Amino acid sequence: MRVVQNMLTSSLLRNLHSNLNNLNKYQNQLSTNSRILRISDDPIGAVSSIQIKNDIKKNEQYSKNISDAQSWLNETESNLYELNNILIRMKELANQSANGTFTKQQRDAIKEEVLQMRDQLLDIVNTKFAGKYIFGGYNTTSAPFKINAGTVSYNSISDISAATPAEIDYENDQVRSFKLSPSTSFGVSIPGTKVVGCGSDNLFALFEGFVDALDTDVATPELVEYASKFSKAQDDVLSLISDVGGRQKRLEHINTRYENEFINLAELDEKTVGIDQAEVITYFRMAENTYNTALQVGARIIQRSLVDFLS
Amino acid sequence: MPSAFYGLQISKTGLFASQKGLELVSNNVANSSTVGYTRQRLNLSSIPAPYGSGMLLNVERGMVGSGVSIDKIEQCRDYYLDIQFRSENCLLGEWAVKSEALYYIEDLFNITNEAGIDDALRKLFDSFEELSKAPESKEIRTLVQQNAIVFTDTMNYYSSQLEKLQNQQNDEIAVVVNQINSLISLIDDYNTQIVKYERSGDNANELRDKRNTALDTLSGLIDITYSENERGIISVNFGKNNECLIDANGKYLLALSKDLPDYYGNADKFYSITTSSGNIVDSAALNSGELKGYFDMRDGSGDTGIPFYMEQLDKLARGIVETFNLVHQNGFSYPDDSNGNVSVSGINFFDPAKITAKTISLDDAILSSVYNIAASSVEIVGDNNKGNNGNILEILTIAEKTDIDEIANIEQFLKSIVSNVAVQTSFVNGKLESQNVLINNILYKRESVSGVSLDEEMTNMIVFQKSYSAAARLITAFDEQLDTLINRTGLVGR
Repeated sequence: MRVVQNMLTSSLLRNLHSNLNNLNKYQNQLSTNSRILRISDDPIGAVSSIQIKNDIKKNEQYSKNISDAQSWLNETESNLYELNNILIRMKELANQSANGTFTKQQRDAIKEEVLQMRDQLLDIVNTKFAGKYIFGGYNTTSAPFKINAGTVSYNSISDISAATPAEIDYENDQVRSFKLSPSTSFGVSIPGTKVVGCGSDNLFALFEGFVDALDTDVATPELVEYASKFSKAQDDVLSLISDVGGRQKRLEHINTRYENEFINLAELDEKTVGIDQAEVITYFRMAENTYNTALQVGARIIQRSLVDFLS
Repeated sequence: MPSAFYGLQISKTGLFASQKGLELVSNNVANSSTVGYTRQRLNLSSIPAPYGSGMLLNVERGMVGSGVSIDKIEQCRDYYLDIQFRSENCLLGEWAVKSEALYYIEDLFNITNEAGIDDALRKLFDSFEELSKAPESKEIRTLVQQNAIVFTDTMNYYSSQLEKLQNQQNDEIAVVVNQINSLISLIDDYNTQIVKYERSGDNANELRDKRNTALDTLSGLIDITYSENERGIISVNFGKNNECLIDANGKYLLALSKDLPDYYGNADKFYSITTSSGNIVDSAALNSGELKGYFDMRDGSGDTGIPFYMEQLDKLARGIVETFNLVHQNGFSYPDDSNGNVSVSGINFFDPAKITAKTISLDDAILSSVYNIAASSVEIVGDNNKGNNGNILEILTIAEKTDIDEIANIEQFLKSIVSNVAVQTSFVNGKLESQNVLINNILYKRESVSGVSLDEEMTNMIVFQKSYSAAARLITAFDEQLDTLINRTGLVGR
């Protein structure tokens, strides 16, 4: 084949160009730690990388939801424990007051304490967390329980002592739930009526009844009965606490699953788009060498021809 | 018996030939890097001995030839390589155009793009997640509204970028047609000049170089076939229907008129091209070339063209608007001063009249008050249900829906667009790369035949230089011979 100078120069240019292209590619891969710089480099890899990144972002959002749910349940739990302590104290007071030797003065002191406890109960069921009432069901903006002339109302139910179970059920359905996965909604609140109870045996009625009993100086057996009523109410609260505890366990479980999944996804992402540093650096060095050699060779061949040797 | 000056005559032809040779060497060297220059070669032949007539006939045996004649200055060109180059160059032009347009589309949909549609959509869903935890919060409602605006803006931006790219292709069509027309005129001019020049029997080498360069350029723009007649006129045809651009009678320019509607149906926006005989030139009438590339990108609703991607985005916009609105309408607004303190259902989230990617926007209700975002699944009376997030939970399920009209699942659909861009770009880039290799090989071969080799020219220079000196030396020899004959012969007895 006849070879002329222009062929040498144009192929030198072409080769320098492709060498630089390679250098550029490796340099970009190294500085971004990504094998795929443009989606056309590897369409399949690019699409699965999109899927992985989406999954990671969803995962992050659900993890946030989980930690918010945990805070709600932690707050609920500590309030229920406080309520539990109140009921323990009430049980004690009922037992003490059943002692027939108690004077009117002593009973009055107990009554005073009971009334304070009732206010505390109201405080607990009207607890606000992060600006929201946690025992109000879907009503988070105003205190769910109100006492008006001895009548206790909850949201739209004007008197919980007279509420029928059907009405209460409607309120019970109002459990705030967060999304913890595409398919699961997770209840994070307990409606106040579940804590306080409904009908004639609700906690407020119980406190009221106990105060009345203390006032009217009724027979001792009735006061003992209150002790067992408070004991039963305490059992109910304890079962609510264990319900909350169960939910917290589930949250922890889901959280662990997301954490593991996150690690797996990050690893998968690394495998899909990540580079093998050692490999790319080696390629980079090779490309660099080739480029340098091409430059040196180019400098020597371009101007050499017979012209240089004619005198 | 030849004349006494016969030798001088022979040497003279030698001098002239060497001189011509040196001139040619200098022309070749001077043009060694001229684009389109074909190296030239001196065609010499020996002149036979004068074929004696009459008296001279057969007087003497052993007649010497009468020197050298310059027959022709010829181009070293392989016409088969020209045909090969021009048919491949045409494909190169088409792939190069498509590759460049797809490069922009790829940029839009690239995974490194952090402001893409999928990111905007994810942020919108994430803010709905946050709202599901605090439906009564104005800040988070505002966050949802703002992220929704970012999403619609992103859709608008993508659509306008694609529209811009499409308009650019349209402009390029006009540029290419003008280029084609000026090349046609140029080739037609060269045809006329070459015929005039070559009438005298000489080769119009430089004009042919120019015509060949023009043909090379033209071959990249439009697929041409051509043939040269005995007078040296090249006729050029193009396309699937073999329509004539140039023949012995002259040129036939392409006509450009802006009379086609654009993607959105606005009249007189896109160019159409007609031949001088009134036939429409479009993608279907062309085999390859830059022009076809631009046509395919501008009009192709298959998976290469820009309209395809615009349609996909429109489908996405429509699907999202309709699905979101359907779910959102079921929910109830949050009573606030900004919306007249009412809790009503039937509110649209996106404007239901704007269902293309170009126009998609939030409904005025959502824009005017964030409390119109329908979070609650029941009417909010008093403070009851202010914390109801039932409808948000429904909205969140849209991300998992797999039965949305035409797009099935939003995320999957977005992924399929990206995968389409990626596969298409990768295919076109691959084609372009292999076409480049092919073209380079042909150019290499062509250079090998037609390129000027300085070594060769220098060698020729020495050859011509030496032969010039030698011829000159011979003239001296003949001169001496004549001197002997004239000045020193017949002096006996003087």
